[in-house]
Formats: sequence, structure tokens, C-alpha cells
Amino acid sequence: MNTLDSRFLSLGDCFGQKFSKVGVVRYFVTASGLSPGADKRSEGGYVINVTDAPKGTESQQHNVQVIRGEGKLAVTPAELEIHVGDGVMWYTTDAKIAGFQVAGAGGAFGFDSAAIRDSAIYTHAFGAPGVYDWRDPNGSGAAGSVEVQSLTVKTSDDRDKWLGKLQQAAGFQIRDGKSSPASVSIVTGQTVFWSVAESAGVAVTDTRFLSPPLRASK
Amino acid sequence: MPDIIAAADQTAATDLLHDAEVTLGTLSKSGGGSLGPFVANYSASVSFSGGTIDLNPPNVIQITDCNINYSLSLSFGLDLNDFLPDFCLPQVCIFGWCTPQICVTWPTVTIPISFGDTARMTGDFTVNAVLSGSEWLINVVVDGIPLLEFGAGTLGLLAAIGAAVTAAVGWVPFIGPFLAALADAVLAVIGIAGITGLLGDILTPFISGLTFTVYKQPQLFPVIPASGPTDPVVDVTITALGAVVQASDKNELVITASISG
Amino acid sequence: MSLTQTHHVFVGVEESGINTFLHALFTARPHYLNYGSPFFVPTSTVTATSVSAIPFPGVPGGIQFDVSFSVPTVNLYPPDPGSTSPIPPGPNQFGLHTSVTIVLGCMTWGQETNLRSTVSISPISATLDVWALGTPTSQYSGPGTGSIGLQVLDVRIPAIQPEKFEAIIDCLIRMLLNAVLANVQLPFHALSLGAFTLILEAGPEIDNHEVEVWGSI
Repeated sequence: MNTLDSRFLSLGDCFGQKFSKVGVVRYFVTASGLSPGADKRSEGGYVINVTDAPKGTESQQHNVQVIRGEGKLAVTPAELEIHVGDGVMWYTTDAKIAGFQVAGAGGAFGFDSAAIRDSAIYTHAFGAPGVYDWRDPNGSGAAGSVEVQSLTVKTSDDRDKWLGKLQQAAGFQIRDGKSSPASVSIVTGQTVFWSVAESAGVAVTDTRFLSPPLRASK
Repeated sequence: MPDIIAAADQTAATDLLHDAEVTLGTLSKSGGGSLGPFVANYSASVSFSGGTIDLNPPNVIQITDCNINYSLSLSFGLDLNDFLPDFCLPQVCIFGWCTPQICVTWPTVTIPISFGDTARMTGDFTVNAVLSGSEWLINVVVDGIPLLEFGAGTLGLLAAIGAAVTAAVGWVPFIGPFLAALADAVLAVIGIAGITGLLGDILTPFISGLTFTVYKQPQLFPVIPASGPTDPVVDVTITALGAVVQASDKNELVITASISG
Repeated sequence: MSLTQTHHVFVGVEESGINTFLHALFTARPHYLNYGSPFFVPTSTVTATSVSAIPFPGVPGGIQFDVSFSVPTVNLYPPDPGSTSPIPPGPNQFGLHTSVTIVLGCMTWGQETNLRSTVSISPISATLDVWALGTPTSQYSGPGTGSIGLQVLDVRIPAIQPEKFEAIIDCLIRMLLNAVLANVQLPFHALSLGAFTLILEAGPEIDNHEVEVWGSI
């Protein structure tokens, strides 16, 4: 399914995290958020070794593909050597992976795709037209709307125009519980980015999959 | 010399046929067949109604325009990769991040279809009387395979398949822009020939050997039912039964019977 | 000429078929043929029907009797060549042949010296050959339901003399025979052995040694 929910990443979704401290970060990829937190684990998982960047080196992005291993999820490459300031982006091309979560910790640093805190990105390619209202299920108050317009591809010219549109970026920035812009408008297949900074741990979820917010009793 | 002679002209014989159609009820079968390039699994229910009879001596009953009322539940697997172009989400960059190019493998989708319509059949039947166990039957049995006419049902099923394809693949991410072209492409490869071929495959087993029973009575035939302790049932034994189509100034279905007390 | 003529269905039951129906009916329910007062038939059973004795002042308990018919056979018009019936059937008529056995409880009674009454019964019987003539009847109780019956018009018992006494016995037997044949009601559906639910439009007629009916279904 092509569900807008950063807590369950699937085909068309990416989660990226920048690493700003030197050290070894151990992370886990799980099919649900029910496994113990990454900061509670000292063994297993996958390792990212973060070292100082030589002077004059530009920060890089490392892509990690999530695949189905023997009875569990796996990643490739399994080990990463990166520099401080680099970003790692997880994604999958396997439509049969129903949803995965990435969470890791090392030293005083931690990250979690289900509770995104700082210097991180979540992307979602919208597979079907409609209006998608989203909000943070973790209660930060961040919310917005994505309007996905339909279009029909009948000729190769239509297709080229559409593929050109797909390369155009659209995005929200979330900082400290606030999101901007309020809405974006795209076409089917286009990707929307959510850049998260200085937050307590947010997620991005289609409101249709959330229970209504509780009202304060008078 | 028979003890009893009963005759029905074409009008009455048509009524007898219609009663036999009701008695036959609904028949069901399931199986597989070709739907153009696809293999379809189906379950089908069929009942018969209407039609007119022409009695042709010495022993042929022609039934014209008998309705074959059918309802189908069929499904076939559609590998979308056979119909849709390779598709990759392109790399997109913003906020200092770039998504990788992600190529989509289209799934194979099961297309379920429910459809019902009425076809028509015209063919020659033979009448014969048989003693089956302890019951006498007069059966009207099809000769060979009757001519089938599907009429507008062919286009109806084609439209139903188009709608079913659209509904069944709606969940597939990123398929929206290709949806109309997909349905058109699937219908094009199936075509009218694919529909008539499948309907023929489905309906032929129902009409092959089709038998309408226009007479069914026990060999020990109850003439008068029991009506009290001193009035038991009165019955006679049907010792012989025959049925033929007989010509005179009008053709008739003639039933002859011999009885014993 | 078609069997159905201007109608949609036709049923013809041959003389042999009617006689088979009669044989089946009276074999299954012989009490339609056998009647007796309590001395002969104390209670009604499937074999015989109990009727009252004929009351007559001074005859203790009434006149005891028993009447039994043999299973009748019919001869449908035209008459069979070898028939010896004194009243052969005409068009649309049937001839009927049976025999009747009449038993009389011949009673003597008196008083003994101790004032006790005495009654003795000695059955005496006679069997008569009966020839009858009749027409078919139909009862129509709705579309597809009804029956065909037999009605006796005349009876001859040639063995009885003198002629005036024969007329009395003929009339008596005609009344009894009509009562017996009132039980012969062949349903329409049985005539065709269940092939049709006949809506009667014409008949019953007797011709060509068969009972014929026409109708629709």
C-alpha cells in the first residue's frame, strides 16, 4: 500500500538522517515499532561508523536499501563508514515490504523514523490522486495538506510531460511543532519532502488513519 | 394396442417444455477456460426459459430461441508488467537531500468479475420414453450442440471486464495515469473473440446432452389417493410408455401407455 | 385428422384402460361392491360396507340382506361384435356387464313356553347376470381439476320372469348400480397418467371403443 505514514515506511517512502557526532551508531530495521528501542540494544543490528570529515570535504548522502532477508528485513550495504555531516537515506524498492521502521543510537545520539527529531527528512511519493490531510500523531501540532491531482497518460508526449513533473520537488519544513507551508499541490507520482529540525519526535501520518484528536472536557 | 393415448399439439408441447425448464431448475458448474490470452477460472449457474417448439415427424422436436439465463463469477490473473511501461520514480532533490531513483515492479492482480445475461439457443432434440428405476420418464434430449447466440451479452461482459480491471487495480500505487490505457489494452487483447470463446466454453457443458424431462411419473401410478382407513390408494402399473412426434393435419406429440391393474 | 383437432391436448382411454381402472378401483376398495345388513356385515371394512336392515313392523330386527356385485366390465361404443348384451351401447354410450348376488336372511321367529322369544335366520341367495347401459359424465371443479364418472341409464336382467317382476328388479338394480358407480370418479390427471393438467374443453365422449376428452393445459 501507498500510505502516508512515516512510522511505516514502504515503497515510495524514504527516511534520511544526518549524523553530526563522531562515534559508532547501531541501528535496527524492523517491520513494526513493537521491538525494543534501538537505545536499549547493545548487540545486533547494523553499524554506521561516523568519523571526522577531512577539511574541505563536502557532506555526502549515503543510500541504504531495505530488502527482505531470510525471514526478516535486511539492509544493503550492511555497514557504512561516513563522515560527520553526512546523511544516510533508507528506502525500499520491494512492494511486498508492508512497512518498516529505522531506529538507531550511539553515544548521546539517537534517531527514529517513527519519531523524527532533528536534521532528518521523510519523503513520500503519492501514488493516487486526492487530498491528503496529515498531522503528527505524536502530538506536536504539526499538520498540513497535500493535494494530489490526477492526470491521464495516453501518449508518449503525455508521459514525458508527466515524468518531467515528477522531478519537481515539493516539501514541508517542520520545526518545533510548526509546519510550513500549510499545503502543497502536486500530481500523481510526485514526491513530497518533510524536513524536520529541532523537534521532540514527530511523525507524518494521513489523518484518515488516526483517531480524532481528544477534546478537552469543560 | 395401448390403453391410453395422449396428444399435445405444438402449443401444448411448448407449455410442457416450459414446465420442464422450471423443473430442471438451476444448474451449476465451475472450471477454467481461455479469456483471450488469459486463463480464467469460473463458476457459472444456468437456467433455461422460453423458446418455442416445432414438432417435426418422425421424432424431432426443434426448440427455437430458448433462453439460457446465466450468471458467472470469473477471475483471471493480470500481470500488469505485460501491459504497463517500466516506471521509475525519478530522483528528486530539495532541502539538501535527494531521493534515489526507485523503480516500480508492477504486481500481478486478480481481476474478479460477476456478470449475468441471457443467451439464446436453437437446436434439434429427440423425444424418448425410458423406465428409469421405478419411474417412467419422457425426455427431450438435445442432438449435438445447439446454435448459441450471445447477443448484447458479449459487449456487456467486455464492459464488465473493463470496469473490473479498473476497480481491481485502483489500489496499485502510481497506476492512476495509466489506468484508462490499461483497461483499453486488456480489452483489446481479449476482444470479442475472447469473450465469445469463453462464453462458449462455459455454456457448452450445460447444453451438451441437455435433457428436458416433460413427463415423470412412478411406474406404480396413483390414480386415486387414499382417503381413509377403508379407502386405500388406487393405483395402476404403467407397463409400457411411448412418445413420438406424429404427423396429420397438425403435428402432435403423442404419448401412448399400457397399464395393468 | 389430428387427435387434438381444434384443441391443444387430447386424451383417449381405451375400453381395456377403463376396465383396468375399474378393476384397480374395486380390487383396492371392494367395499364399494359389497353391502350387507348387520347380520351379514356387522361393521364397515375395506371389504364390505355395513348398512341397516330393512325395517318392517313385526319382523324382529328388520329384514337382513346382503348385496354383492362382481367387478363390472364396460363395453364402449361401438358394441363388441361378440357381445350378447340385450341392450348394446349406442353412440356416446357404454355397456356394462356385472353379476349381482342377493342374499336374504330368511327369518323364522316364535315364542317358547317359558315366554322367551326365538329367532332363526337361514340365508338364501341368488346370483343374477346384469347388463346395463350408460353414459359418461364429467365433474369439473376448476381449471385442471375434475373427474369422469359413469351413469347407468338402463338395466336388463334377462333371467327374471314374469316381465313385470323383471321391471321391478331392473329398477332396483339400476338404483343400486348407480350408487355403486358413483364411487367411480377418474380424475382428469389420471386419464393422461399425469402427463397433463387437463383443462376440459370437450368431452367426455365415447367413440372408437374409447373415452375421449379434449382441452388445453
